[in-house]
Order: sequence, then structure tokens, then C-alpha cells
Amino acid sequence: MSNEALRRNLSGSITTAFRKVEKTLGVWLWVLVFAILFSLVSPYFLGLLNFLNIARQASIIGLMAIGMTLVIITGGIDLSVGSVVSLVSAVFGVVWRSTNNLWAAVIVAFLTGAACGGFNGALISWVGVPAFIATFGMMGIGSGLAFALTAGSIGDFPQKFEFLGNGIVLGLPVPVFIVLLFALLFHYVLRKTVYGGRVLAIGGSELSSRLAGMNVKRYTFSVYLINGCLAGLAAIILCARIRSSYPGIGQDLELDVVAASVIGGANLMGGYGSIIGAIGGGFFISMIQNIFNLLGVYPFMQKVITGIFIVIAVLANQVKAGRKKQ
Amino acid sequence: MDATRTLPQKTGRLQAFRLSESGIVIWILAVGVLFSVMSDRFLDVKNIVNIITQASIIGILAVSMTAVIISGNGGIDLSVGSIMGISSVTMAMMIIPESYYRDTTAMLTISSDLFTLVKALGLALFIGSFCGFINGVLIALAGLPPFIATLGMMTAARGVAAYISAGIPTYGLPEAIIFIGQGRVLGLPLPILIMLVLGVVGALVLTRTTFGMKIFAIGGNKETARFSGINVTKTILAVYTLNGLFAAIASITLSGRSNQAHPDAGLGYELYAIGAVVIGGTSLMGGVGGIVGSILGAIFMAEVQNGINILDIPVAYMKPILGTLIIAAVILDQWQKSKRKVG
Repeated sequence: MSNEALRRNLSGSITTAFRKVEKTLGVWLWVLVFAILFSLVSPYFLGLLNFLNIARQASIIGLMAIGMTLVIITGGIDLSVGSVVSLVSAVFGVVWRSTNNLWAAVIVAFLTGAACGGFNGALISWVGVPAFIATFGMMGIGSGLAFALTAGSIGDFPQKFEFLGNGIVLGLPVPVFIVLLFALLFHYVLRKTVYGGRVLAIGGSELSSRLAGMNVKRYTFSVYLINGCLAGLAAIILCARIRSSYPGIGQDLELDVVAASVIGGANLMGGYGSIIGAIGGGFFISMIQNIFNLLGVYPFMQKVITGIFIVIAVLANQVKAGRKKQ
Repeated sequence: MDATRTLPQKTGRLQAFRLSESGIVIWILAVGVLFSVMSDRFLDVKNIVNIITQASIIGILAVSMTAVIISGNGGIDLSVGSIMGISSVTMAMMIIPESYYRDTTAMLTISSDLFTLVKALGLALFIGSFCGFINGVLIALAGLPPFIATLGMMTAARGVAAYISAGIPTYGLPEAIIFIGQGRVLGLPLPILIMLVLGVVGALVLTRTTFGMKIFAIGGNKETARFSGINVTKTILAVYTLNGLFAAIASITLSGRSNQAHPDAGLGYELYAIGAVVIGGTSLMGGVGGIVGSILGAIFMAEVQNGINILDIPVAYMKPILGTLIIAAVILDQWQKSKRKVG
């Protein structure tokens, strides 16, 4: 009798322990599982150089996914981040070429990203344009202006700037530290501060938040501003990594970023999202792209499988959410 | 989600329909006046027919996209552009098989007998509907957010299109298909007629049939729709399948117009189609909108592109100007609606 109860207790506690692991690790559990799977498939996957490569790529997507997660939590979307990256990259190149002043280039480029985000935010919060339309418009404005500014790539950046994208500190690429810093910062902001609580509340119900006396518009504006700033930063790091600026650099990047956020657990209807998960989502996407390259999969088929992976990941998230609800 | 939103009622809906139309008509006229002042080549019957022909591909997509967006609950279809690519390529595969066996030395024979044509067009339409159906299954049965399901389809369909064709476009299609894209009936280009017929039928279905009512009801409030006995799953499935079918029709028209089957056919068209729908006054929140507005939205975008070409503005500025105008149109539309609400 007591034996039976003990066994039931034990198996129950093992299940809850697994659920706990799954809950705390989230998408990172899947990153681990697939990393093991991929290293069985390709002998090159587990190499240090390859890992650094994945980490560098994941940092760019991850950094942008932080901002995108905040946006998605409020129930919005930002289709413009890819174009903003293109525009910031072009601005950076043009300012560098004309002034040869690195700091000027970095500052002007970053402010361009912030201005794009702020413009989106102002349109969405104060003017009341749907996020999809405002950022879709911004997408056209950004990518068009980038090509209007410069048609080709600009390079020859100083060595110390390229360190930002390619440097290694303590065995890890510099962008990894940057994304880690911002991930921890925004994880803290989202979970522990009044600001984060309000952003989550707005996503849960904008109406209730407004009735509760929040300045919903100001918070909505702020998440798009943050998103623009992070896209600007990502663009600057990307320029440093590939040692050049190119006006088409961010094309279709927004889709990877949205996918990373959603794979990381962000709910497109708003109200829920995870910064740490979004970074995991970025890692997941970079890993898939990497293993395809290693295996020499047709670039066309890569697209197909990436699409299928996104769908499966979100389905898995949904099953999990459904179980939680029960 | 939004407690202030009410269920669609017949009068309320029709009113919203009219309001949105008047907004976009004003925009089309205002921009038209601006362009005709700036260039004497703009206000010309030939040019205006040209604009509407240009709008027709996006217009066809916008007809069924309107239904998708009205059906609400995040309803959106990002995959139509890619579905156009896959339909175009599979159609050509039936007509010009040699080019798909990578046998570049062989003479390309274009089989244009009726049976091959029917097979090719049928396959293109089937593939389009099938992709749409998969979207519908993922959304209605598996419960995925439409954004994600169709985003997956967008990358997957484009990849398959490129894989089938090895990324190489096929030039030279049979006369009959070229006629669909370039021919004239009653003096009007056929694409315009296709858009008009589909638009009128679509608008009637949406406003005059129970199927249309169900779409509005689901967009207004999914739970209420379910409780009033509407088969939500079936309706959503039908809406996304139809959207795939319309993408295939748009694809055939585009292939005929450009006399080529291109794996990149329709690249980025999904956003223009969505843009046209929203400029036309359909709410992205679902439950409100109309097809006439969407077609006018497509014409508005084509008008702007045409004006930019005529005025010799560098192509790089095309997208920024279009983006700005889309935002401006939506702002004006909203401002107008809020004014009427108060007054």
C-alpha cells in the first residue's frame, strides 16, 4: 500500500522534474537536443570554429529578437527591422566614407536606427496606425533609402572596429557578450521592473491597461524605439563582422527575427514572451542554417526545411501551452 | 480580445464598407490630380488602362486576401507570393517538360494542344489551392497563428519552386496562356476583366451569401460564431484554400503577361496585396472590410508606381514613396472614420 503510493509519488516527481527542466530550459532544451542530433549527422558540427560561427550569427538575430519580443508582447509586430538594418548599414558606410571618423559613423548610424524605431512607435501609438502597416511602410522607406544612399558596398574599416564583430574574448566572440549583456538586462527589465510588468499588461489587454490608468501610448512607443535601437546596434555589429556595409544586408532578416522570437515562446497575440527564449530561437535558426551548409543541402531545400522547422517549433510551443492551461 | 468591438451587423458593416471606399477614392483622385499637374503624360486613356492592368495581379490577390483578413483572429496570408512562384513553375513543367529535365541541348517543344493546356492550368490551380489548403489545416485544425503558418508556407513553397526549376526561369509559353495575360476582350486587357469578374463575384459572395456572413461573424468574434452554430474550422479552411486558388489565378495571369514561368514570380507580392487590402479600409483586426476597397487599394498603389515612372524619379525612391503613401492613406482613412463617428 505504502509502496504503491511511494512509487506513484516517485514517478510523479520524475515527471514534474522533467516538466520543470523543460519549463526552465524552454527552447534551449530543443537547441541542446538538436545540437546533439546535428553533431551525430555531421562530424564538422561540433568543432570550435563552427560553434563560434553559429554563435556570431545567432548574436545578430538574437540581439534583434530581444526588441522584437518586446514588440510582440505588446501585441504588435515590426516588419521593418531588416530594412532598418540595411539603412543603418548604408548610413554607417556613407558617413564613414565621407568623414573617416569612426565615432561619427557609429553614432549617426545608431541614431538612424533609433529614429526609425521612434518613427514606427510614434505612428503606431499616437497616430494609431496598425503596427503591420506602419512597419510595412517603414520597410519600404528603409530599404529604398538604403539603396538611394549608396548602391554598392563600402569597406576598409579600421581594425579596432572589426574587433566588435570578429574579436574573441575569453574564447567567445565579442557579439556574444553584447547579446548576453542585453539579454540579461531586458530579461530583468521584463520580469522584475514596473516597466516590464506594464509592457506585459498592455499585451494582455490594452483596454484594461488603459482603464487601469497606464499611459499605454508611451509604453507602446517605447518598445518600438527600443526595437529600432537594437536593430541599429545589430547593423553596426554586422558591418564590423563582414567588414563592409551594404544596402541590401538586412533583406528578409525580419522574418528570421520574428521566427526567433516566436520559436522562443513569444505569443503573436500579445501578452507573453521570453527574452532568454528569443535568444534560444536565434540560436536554433542559426544552427539549422549552419547544418544545412555543412551537409551541402541545396539552398532551395534549406528554405523548405527552415519553413517546416518554424511551423513545428511553434506547434510544439502551442501543445505545451495547451497542457499548461489544462 | 477587444471588448469594445461589436458583432458585425448588416447596416454597420455596409456603412463601414462605404466609408472605406470613399476614403480610397479621394486618395486615388488626389494623387491623380497631382501627377497630371506634374506630367502631361499621366492623364491619358492608354496610361490609365495601363495602370489598372498593372494593378490587376495585386487586385486578384487582394480579393481573397480581403476574406482572409476579415476572418480575423490574426488572419493574414504571407504565402501568396510564393504560391504564385510554385504555381507558375509547375504549370510550365507540364507545358515545356524538356527544360525541366535539364536537357539544354534538346529543342524546346512547346506542347500547346488543348489537353496539355488543361493539364497545365489545372495543375497550377490545384497546386495553389493545395498550398492554401495546407495553410488552412495548420491554422484551423492545428491552431497555429496564421502569421506563422503562412510564413512557413512562404519559405517552403518558394524553396520547392526554386528546386523544381533549378532556379531557372522558362521563357516562351503557349499562345493561350500569353492571351490570358496580354489579350484583349471588348477592348479591355484580359487581366482587368479577370480582376473585375473575380472582384464582383467575391464581393457578392462576401456580402450576400451565408458563407460571407460566416467569415464576418468569425472575424467579429470567433467564440460567438462557434456558439451560434457556425463550423469555424470548415469556413477558415475554405477561406485559406480559396486564397491559394486566387494566388494560382494571379500567377497564371502574371506568367502570361510576362511570357515566362519564373520561380521568383510574385516575390514580395503578399505585402502589396495586404497593403492594398488595408489601404482599401479592411481592418487587420478582422470583422470589417470589403473587396471593392481592396481593388481600389491595388489601383492606388499601381497609380503611384506609374506616376513615379512617368516623373522619372529614381527607382530607389519608389519603395520609400509607396511606403509613405500607404501609411498616409491609412492615417487619412482613420482620421475620416473618427470624424464621422463623432459627427
